Amino acid sequence: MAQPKSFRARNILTLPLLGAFLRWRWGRAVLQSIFFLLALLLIIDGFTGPQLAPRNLATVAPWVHYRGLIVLVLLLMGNLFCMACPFHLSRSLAKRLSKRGRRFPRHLRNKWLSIAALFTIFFLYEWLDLWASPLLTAWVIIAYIAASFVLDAIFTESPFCKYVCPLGAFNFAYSTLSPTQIQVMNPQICAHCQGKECVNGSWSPQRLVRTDTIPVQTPDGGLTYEARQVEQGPQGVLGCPTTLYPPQLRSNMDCILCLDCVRACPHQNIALIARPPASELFRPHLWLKRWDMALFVIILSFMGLMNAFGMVPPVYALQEQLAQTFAIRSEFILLALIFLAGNIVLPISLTLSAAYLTRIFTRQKHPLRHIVAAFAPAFVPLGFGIWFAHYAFHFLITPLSIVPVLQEFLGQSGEWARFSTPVNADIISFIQALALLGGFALSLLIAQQTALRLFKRQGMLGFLPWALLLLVMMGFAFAIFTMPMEMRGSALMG
Amino acid sequence: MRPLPNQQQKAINEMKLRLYFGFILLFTLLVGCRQQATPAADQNLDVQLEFSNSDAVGESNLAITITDAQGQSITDAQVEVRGDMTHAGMTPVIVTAQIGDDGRYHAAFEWTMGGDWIVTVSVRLADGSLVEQTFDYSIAGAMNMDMSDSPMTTPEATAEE
Repeated sequence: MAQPKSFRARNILTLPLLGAFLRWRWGRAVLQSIFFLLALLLIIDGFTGPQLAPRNLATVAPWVHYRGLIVLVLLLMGNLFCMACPFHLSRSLAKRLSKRGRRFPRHLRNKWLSIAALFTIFFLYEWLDLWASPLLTAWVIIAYIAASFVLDAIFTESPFCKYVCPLGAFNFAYSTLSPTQIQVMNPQICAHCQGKECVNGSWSPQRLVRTDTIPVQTPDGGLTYEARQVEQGPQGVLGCPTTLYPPQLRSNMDCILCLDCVRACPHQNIALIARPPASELFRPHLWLKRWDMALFVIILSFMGLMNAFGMVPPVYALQEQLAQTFAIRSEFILLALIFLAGNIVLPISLTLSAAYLTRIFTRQKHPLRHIVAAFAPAFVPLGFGIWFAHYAFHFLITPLSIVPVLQEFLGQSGEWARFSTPVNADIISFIQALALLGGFALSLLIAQQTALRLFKRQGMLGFLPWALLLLVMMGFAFAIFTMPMEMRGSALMG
Repeated sequence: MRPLPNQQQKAINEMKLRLYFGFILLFTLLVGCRQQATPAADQNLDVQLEFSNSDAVGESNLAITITDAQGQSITDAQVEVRGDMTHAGMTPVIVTAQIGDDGRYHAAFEWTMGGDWIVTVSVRLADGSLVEQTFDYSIAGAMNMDMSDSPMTTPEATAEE
């Protein structure tokens, strides 16, 4: 069936070269292979190179360049990292080696595990000073590969991608701002598709043939039905690894942009469309009204604040203060206290307070869970702005430092003087301010529209607690980014 | 897409496997490429640093004393000093030190940011061998992001007599 004109214009998969590459059966494997080889380089240098973070690929590539580029790519294109994810290769290998396993436990099929994984990786980052240790960073990469292999060998779907991977969780949350999205062209075709290959896959050990009767538009605008033969076989592809069903897709959340649905669809009915950035965040009932989903994006934005807070002098003063007050000398316990307070207790209590105040102000009896779920998307832009300001800072300080690091890895003298020039400080500050203010403004707009939709005439009253919470977060972020940064391990480590 | 015959598919899989192992071998060989320096202690050299300011962000005068196993000053070496933050991706400070009348090597060195620093002194001896020693410093204070006048960009102008 021909694509409707509106889709043809916006479908990235119809672009010359790029579209063909993305649709190509091995397109993703090529990208993954490149990234897998890069991951191998990082592991090799992490284990055998100098244990000086600025001169080792294992630390410079992930902690400076990956993080700086990922926020840019998410904002301008989409979840391309998950598309090219090097850990996916070990997952594919696991899938081939294992028998058909069981489903991931039902009580773990939510975002609580993602929150725990994010908490753990950010905690380890601070506690073990991962940013300063090529060796430990190499071990983290190995742990990723091992975890994705083991989980995908045991379970049928891709639990590592959907429920565990902290990198994926970050990308899922902030790809909701991206200007691209998977979308079906004609939902009627999906309704008449027997195999639902997009989610079930078109792979089968033997060749299978069936006939779908699908609706087709006639030249005069009418509708007729056409019998179409569909094949499955050993050359088919797996279905959506995160078990998303494209006709029901309303959000980029959980989409790893693998395009397996595109390749599996026997009716060429799935497009990768260009859309206004962040448009999905304005949709009502975007995600299910679940605590885990709502708190996931809210906690991630607070994690952005805490991660940046770890870079400024007051964090050391706070550690000292806590150490003296509670007579604790263990850095692990002190950091755990700060992390639990800033990343878990604070976001949950502030969010519940805002929801409770909203209910009092508007005198409406919505359950707190519904209110929090409705306002959760408003935290995405500000959270992203905070992460962007932080990661852009590290990236722009020496955007080309990867060049001398590579030169030294290859046995040459690194041209540090040539490639270590920082971007002008005023430009960095401007970009940081733009990210924060832009994110804040968009967050306010989403919260306001949510409040008006939910509480009608009392919308502005319902908006007030959320605007206040976002303002406090913004103020805190602004204070952090205008403070002098200090790059050090824990003050207690001496 | 027309399915490939099984044999052809097998050949493609084998080729992919070979390619992977080829790359892994290549990268393993690359490991040996890095230039290696000998730690100063292994060469029986003693390297001592003295900064006029090693506490706070800002300019500092650096004096380096290099002595051999007999305690004799080494004055005919080429000495380069490099300061790195422990965090990846920060701009390093690289200066060349020159021998002074007191038998020590001198350079102007700027701590550009508060935090933990690792200072690496690279000594190229007269016989061509390269010796390195690292020192840890913790610097307090704000960041100086205006590095246009950083010693790194004008290494020839950094030596002090």
